[in-house]
Amino acid sequence: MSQAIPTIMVLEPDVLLRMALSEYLRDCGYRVIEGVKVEDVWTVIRTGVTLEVLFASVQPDGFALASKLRQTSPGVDVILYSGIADAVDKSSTICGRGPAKIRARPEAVARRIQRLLAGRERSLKQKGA
Amino acid sequence: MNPVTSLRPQPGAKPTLLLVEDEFSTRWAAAEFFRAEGFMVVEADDVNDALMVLLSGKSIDAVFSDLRLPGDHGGEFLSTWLEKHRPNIPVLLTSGRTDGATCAGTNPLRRFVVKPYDLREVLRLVCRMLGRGIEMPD
Repeated sequence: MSQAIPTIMVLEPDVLLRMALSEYLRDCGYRVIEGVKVEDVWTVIRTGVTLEVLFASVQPDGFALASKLRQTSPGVDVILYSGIADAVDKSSTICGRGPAKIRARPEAVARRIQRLLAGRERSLKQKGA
Repeated sequence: MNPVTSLRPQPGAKPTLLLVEDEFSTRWAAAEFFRAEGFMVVEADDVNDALMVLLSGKSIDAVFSDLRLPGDHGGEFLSTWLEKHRPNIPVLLTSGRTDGATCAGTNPLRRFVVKPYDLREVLRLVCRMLGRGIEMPD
């Protein structure tokens, strides 16, 4: 049985960071959608594409985006990242399982996404059992 | 045989396309299409980002750029920059204005396609430029 490829959206205004991370995640086998602005996330959501994970920078609107997504699209797990320690602490109150301390190496991000998706799968199985 | 199919890059030789487009939905659709066709796609939403990618040392095989982009410079500036600094990279320009074709000039590595475009036609043009550097007769 073929398994659906999880879709990750990387929201990052810096083109070089976004390129490096997105390429790495694609090499890991994920479908990756690249966004530059917060509106891009809503465009994707509106099309009905199932997003498993949104990986977004805290700056400039990450907190507001994560809060709104939690209300409107609870199926999307959000990982916010920042190089600022306070922002990481704050994100833990918004994202539940999500927050990441980013000295972001792509490998670390991929591991985090992998854990997140594994947790989601376990949770779905438990609900189905 | 579908002519587009025959132009697809062969496995193992994944060309990298720098896609420069500020409108997200358009960029997303084009990027997904080219990835599905076997390309690596680097997405930039303005000329500054495109130049950052080009100057980063990332190997780029072709550029597909909108002419009208936000910021001080548009796709025409990018095309001129590429002609001067990366003359061997083929560039396909696009715009909703048909007079944008003049920006492509007579250089065989510069082509123009009007918006709205058919992505299969864009693929065909890019593949032709990658394959021969000049347009082949139909």
